[in-house]
Amino acid sequence: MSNRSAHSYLAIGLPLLALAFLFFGPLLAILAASFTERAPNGGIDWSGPVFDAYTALFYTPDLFGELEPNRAFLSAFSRSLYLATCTTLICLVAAIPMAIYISRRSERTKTLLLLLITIPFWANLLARNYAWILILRANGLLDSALQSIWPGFEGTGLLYSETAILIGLVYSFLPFMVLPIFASAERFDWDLVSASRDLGASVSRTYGKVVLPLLTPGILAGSILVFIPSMGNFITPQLLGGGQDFMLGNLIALQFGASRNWAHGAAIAVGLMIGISLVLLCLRRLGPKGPHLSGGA
Amino acid sequence: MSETGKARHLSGRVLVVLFFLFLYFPLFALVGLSFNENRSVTVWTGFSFDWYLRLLENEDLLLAARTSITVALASATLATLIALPAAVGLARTSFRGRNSLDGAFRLPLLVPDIVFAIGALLFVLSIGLKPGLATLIIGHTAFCIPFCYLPIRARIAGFDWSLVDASSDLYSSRIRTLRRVTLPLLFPGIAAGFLLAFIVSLDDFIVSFFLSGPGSITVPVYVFGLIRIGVTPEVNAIASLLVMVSVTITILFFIAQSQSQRKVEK
Repeated sequence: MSNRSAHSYLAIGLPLLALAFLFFGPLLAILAASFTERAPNGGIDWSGPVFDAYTALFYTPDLFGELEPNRAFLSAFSRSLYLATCTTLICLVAAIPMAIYISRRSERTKTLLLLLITIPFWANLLARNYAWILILRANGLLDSALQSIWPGFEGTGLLYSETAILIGLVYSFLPFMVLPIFASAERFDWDLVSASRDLGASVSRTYGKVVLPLLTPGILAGSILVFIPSMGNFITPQLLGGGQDFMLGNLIALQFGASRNWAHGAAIAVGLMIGISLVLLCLRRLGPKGPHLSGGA
Repeated sequence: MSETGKARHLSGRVLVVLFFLFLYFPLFALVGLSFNENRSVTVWTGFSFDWYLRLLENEDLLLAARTSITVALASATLATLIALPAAVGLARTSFRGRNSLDGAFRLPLLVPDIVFAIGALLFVLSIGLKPGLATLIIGHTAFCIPFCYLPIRARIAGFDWSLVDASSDLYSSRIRTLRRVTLPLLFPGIAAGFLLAFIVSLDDFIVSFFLSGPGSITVPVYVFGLIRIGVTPEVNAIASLLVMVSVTITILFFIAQSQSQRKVEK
């Protein structure tokens, strides 16, 4: 018996080492880099821990060397928070009725609908965002369709706007929301709804007091799975926002590209992780037993 | 059916139609336009297969495709080798902290890819590697781990360990038990994990963007470069190809899975 568990510990230990090396190594590297400063020729000057990169998140020297608020970071942070929250809410509104609808179909229809939701989710993210360029761009598919209905229409001008980013984010992550809520909805006992209605509760009261609370684990898991990749998204704002409406993901990438200020980029990444952790903590408080990923996966 | 029942039924249908229109219209538009003979991308003039034929002559793209497939195969394999013993080991032991270890193997799902991407870049540079094929494989293996781990975990949840005990009670060696009993029973989970990891690696852009070096660019990184230059029929064709590859793998995966489930039910 003890021999078997010794083997089990070895079976866990080696993969754990690999995970630590491959995954926690990079996270520690970010943390370490965020306490360095920019080397004169770009890259990193590793001499001694400094907090400049963090100060630079909020203040940046202007032309005369005086500190002024760092608009780039603050606006990217608030815009990311705002767009990720909107994306999560829109996905919730679309996914809850859809998940409930699917959960009440026959086994065959259920399997088919789930497959149909999963397919676009596995299609390449870059290609899926690119498809929206074709639709939204000036004289693209949407403009041409509207112009054929309404001659003289000037075009929506949607591409390279915050709305376009929002559409792209919802499109990218909607399946993440449906699947966990479906997993909760499927376990749901619909007799409870009949019971609630029989006892005289209105439809909206039944949904608010009976259905939604029981769907909470799925809703929380889905919200996490949508919120996190939206908050740190790079592709969608780059392709559909045209790089003007910078989100945190773009700002980080910029530090590792043209700006060559890696320490600053690492500090922004740490800021993003802290922001996400705070949101997760808030969500955990909302949930009965805390959110977990098992709802969807 | 009552009036409100009918109305609800109808609104359900409308919801489903709108939902799937939103999910599928962009994909069909993209693939449809890739067969457009015209250069002006969004105006349809006639059917043509030309843009795809041209891709076959594109040396850069072919090289990128080779890199993508190499990286996807290598990282899906490595991630499976890491996830499999972990999943089996965690299922057969109980100790304090087991749940947090279980959580650790899912954790990469909770870190935004851009954060992991720059972390991986800083990490490989700090251990003295230069961006290239090796660093791509290192980075991809890390984010593939949960995709291999979760299906195996799910398979283990419905696993009958008495079969393994029976095998060793009947004096089968440990290796033989593993080969003849445990692995075949876990195979659907292992295969599912491998395929998911393969697709995820093939589709990844952001990690590859930071970890690829000169001569080791993956297809999504190559496409991103083209999109930045502009919307062209070539990009339509490559993007459609990417979509079609993942859709085909997903459907095959789904068929295989439902068949193995049917076998279990029998």
